[in-house]
Order: sequence, then C-alpha cells, then structure tokens
Amino acid sequence: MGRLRFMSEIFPVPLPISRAAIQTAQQFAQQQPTPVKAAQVYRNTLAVWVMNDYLQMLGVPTQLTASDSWNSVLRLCADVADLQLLGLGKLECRPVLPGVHYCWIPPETWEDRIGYVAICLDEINAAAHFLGFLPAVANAEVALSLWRSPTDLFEHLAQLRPTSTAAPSMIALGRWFQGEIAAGWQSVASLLRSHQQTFAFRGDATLAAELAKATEFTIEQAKFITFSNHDPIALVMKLALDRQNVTHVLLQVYPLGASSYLTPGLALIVLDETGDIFLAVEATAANDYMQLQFSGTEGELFQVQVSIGTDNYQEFFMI
Amino acid sequence: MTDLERLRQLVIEACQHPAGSPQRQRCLTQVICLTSPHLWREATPDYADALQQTWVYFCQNVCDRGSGDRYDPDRSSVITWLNTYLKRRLQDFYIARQRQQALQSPSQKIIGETGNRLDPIEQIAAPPDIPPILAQVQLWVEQDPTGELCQTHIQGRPDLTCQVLILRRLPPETSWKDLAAEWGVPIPTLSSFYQRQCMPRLRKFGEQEGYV
Repeated sequence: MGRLRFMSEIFPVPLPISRAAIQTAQQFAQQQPTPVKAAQVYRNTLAVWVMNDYLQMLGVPTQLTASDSWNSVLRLCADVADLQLLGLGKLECRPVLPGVHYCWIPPETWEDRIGYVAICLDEINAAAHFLGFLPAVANAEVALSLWRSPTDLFEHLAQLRPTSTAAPSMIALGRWFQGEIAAGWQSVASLLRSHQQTFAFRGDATLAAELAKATEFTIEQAKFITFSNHDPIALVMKLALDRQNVTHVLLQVYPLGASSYLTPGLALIVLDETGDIFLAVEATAANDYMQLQFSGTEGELFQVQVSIGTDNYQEFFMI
Repeated sequence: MTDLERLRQLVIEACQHPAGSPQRQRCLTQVICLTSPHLWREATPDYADALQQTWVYFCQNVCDRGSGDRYDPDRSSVITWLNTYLKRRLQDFYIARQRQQALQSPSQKIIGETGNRLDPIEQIAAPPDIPPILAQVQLWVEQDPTGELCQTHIQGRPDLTCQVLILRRLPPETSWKDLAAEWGVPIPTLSSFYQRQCMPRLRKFGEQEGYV
C-alpha cells in the first residue's frame, strides 16, 4: 500500500454485511412480484443497511424506518435506496455490482436528496464497499471514476447541519397529541429498530421489555442523543392526557452504547420555567435505565437536561 | 512512513477533534480503510457480524472510554487491538452457535451451518407466498377513492395523471425512457412529477395500510 495512494484518499471503505442486513433484504425482496424487482429491492436494502450501520457508528444519527426504502409501498413503486439522516434529509445509497464501472441513479431519486453514495456489494462474501460520494447528480448513469472520495461526505453533512444552537426552540407538547411530533423525535419502535445492531450486540431485551410495560401513556416518542465524550443515550418521553386536562409526563433515559448500563453520574434533570431544579435523578453503576415522572397543565414550561461531565443536552418544552 | 506509523498518527489526529465532527469521522474512516487489509479473516457464517461489532467497538473506544477501556496507542497498534477484539467476538459467536446447535435437531443443524455463504439471490428466487401488496396498490390506484389521483396531472397534459403514471410504473414497469418517448415528455418532467405528486400519496397509502 503506497503512501501516495493513501494520501489521495480515494479508498473504498469496507463495510461488513451483517446477517440482520441479509435477512431484512431477503424479507423485503420476498414481497416483490417479479424476480427483477426482487433483486433490485434486495440490493437497495443491503446498500441502505450497511450505510446505516456505518453512519451510526460514526455518530451520524439516522432514521432508517422514516426512509422511503423502508416503506413497502414506495419500495414496490419506485427504485429507491434512501436513508433518512436525522434533521438533514435523504441520502441515496445506490448499490453497484462488482466489476461494473458506473452507478445507476434512477430518475425517481433525482430530487429531494442531500447526496448520493455508491456502494459496491459483494453478496457472496458478505462484504460491501463505500466507493464514493456526490452531493448531486445530473445523469442516470455516473461513471465511478467521477465520484468524490467517500470521506467528503462528512464535510458535506457538516455544512448542512445548522451551525448554532444558541436560540433554543420551544417544543409544544400539545401538538404531539395532534400527531405533530417535533423534529428529532421519533417513535420508540423506530429508534429501537435503527439501533438493532447495538441491542443485538448487548444481547439483552431490557429496554424493549421496559418500554412495553407502560401502556397507559398515549404518546411515546424517543430521541437519539449523542455526547462528545460519552455513550449515546435514548431519551424517551411518554405523555398522557387525563380527564381533568392534566398532562402526565414520564421521562426515561436508556443507554444506547455497547453497555446495557447507564454511565454512572449521568443525570436527568427537569427544571421549571424559572430555571430552578424541579426533579433530578442520577445513574449509578447498576442502572440500566432511569426515569422521572411529573404532571402539568397546558401552557406550563419546563426544561429537560441530560448531562454527564462537560456533556450536556438540553431542550425546552411547553405542555 | 510505514502503515503503522501512519495509523498511529491518524488515531491521534482523530481524537484531537470532537466526536461527531467531520474531521474525526474522516480520520476514523481512514483508519478503517488502512486497518482492514491487516485484520484476521476467516470464512465463517458470523464473520461479518463480528467484524461489524469490531468497528463499532473501535469507534466507541478509540478516543474515549466508551463500552470498554479506552485504546492506548502506547500499548499496542490499532491492528493488534482490533484483532484481539475481533477474535474474541468470533469466539463468542462460535460458543453461542455450539450451544444453539446442541439444542436443535440434526436436520436443523444443516441450515445453521450453511449460514450466509449461500447465494442470497438464489434464496429469494422462489418466495413462499407473494404478499398481495401489488394487487392492493393497483386496486387503490384504479379506484382512486378520493379522486385526487385522476385530478392531479402534469401541467399542460391532463392525460398524464397520477393514476396513469403510477399504473405504468408498477412492476413490471415501463422504463422512464420508453414513457418519455411514448408521451413526448422529457424524463425529468415525468420523474419530478412522480416524486412530488405520486410518491407522497403512495407513502401515505402505505402508512395507512400499515405496510411499513
């Protein structure tokens, strides 16, 4: 391996094709009416899955189940291999077969994309390679020699991300009851599915079992939160509106790293509208989750903080 | 500069940038590319899973104490560190598989051993039972209960409605090229209309029917 080639950074990135990827791709392919369509869906699903694994491990939050490629009707009616990136948009993950020198970009993916990646699939050896990235395409067929280095993707994504979080926006929970969920929040099932790898790795079902228990809450939304120096977590917010118009809020924090326990010292804090601490709980070494419950009436404001060391997540809500 | 020196430098550089930053993502990706050819390889059914877990472990522990101890560049090279972890994962998979097979009947064992080394395309060639999604979508498009699929059309072409376009794009679909030639409309006009007007309606139908 020469230094020169390395410095040019035109390296295909190896991405393993896990068993879960193959099983899901087979399942999606079996829903298709023709062998040609089945092969297309099979490869699209693998390309999206391996890219999802790769981006997640590098700390790029994704919403696999919010992607068109994960909607069975769209999968049938269009040649789509999109992966929804949290708060950014759709990244199209186009499969390329070994030995082919161009990548096919279907016309139905020419719009509404934040970028395109070419993924070479070696199905027999359960290995894929991330070959290149393009911010936009102008043709249905793009020669592989024209694609930019895979790592250019990250600068591109960073540019798309809002630069400042200085003005915290208030999330109106009342809207959640009308089905308008704030950006960055997703269904608990969707968050769990996109972190399947992590949970399979941990080999425990604590989170799923715990989440299934509380059935009296009508709204259950989860947010994927990453920290600079600590494992990512899932913040789950459950809401119930009772007959007296009181909103009951249950906040839970679950680990999303490889450990099935929360990092000791991780704190979940609820502050009232004056900024005073209203409720707080701190994880010990034996906690696989932690939670806080409170109630409020319409118009009341509160702030949620999840912090450990210098890492701090905070968000403002209105009941 | 040798690969090992270059790797060491890349790890140090990666960790100088915060987690989730494009600089760290770029460096970690370069380490993955450089390390990959030197990693232990074997042709076992769980290899890809063990390798994926190894990369996750790498990303989580290379700069910070994550799921395990933080990587110490003075103690071992990244290659040695990751090979140790990879082999341990493979060992775990092997033990789990042994345990699982001990619980299964001899006929089931054969399936377990073949793993993902089979050609996956061959396995999907004969689906046991094709779900009726195509028929249901077709029925919904033809009946058009709200009337919007018939009413929404390409500008200046009342004959090219959502209904017409979706029906022609259902598998086995007519290619965009052939449709463009048949209707005398450029591909981007057709595909843009399909993306903006047809796909959101199909998405909604899919969500309503629970086909997700």
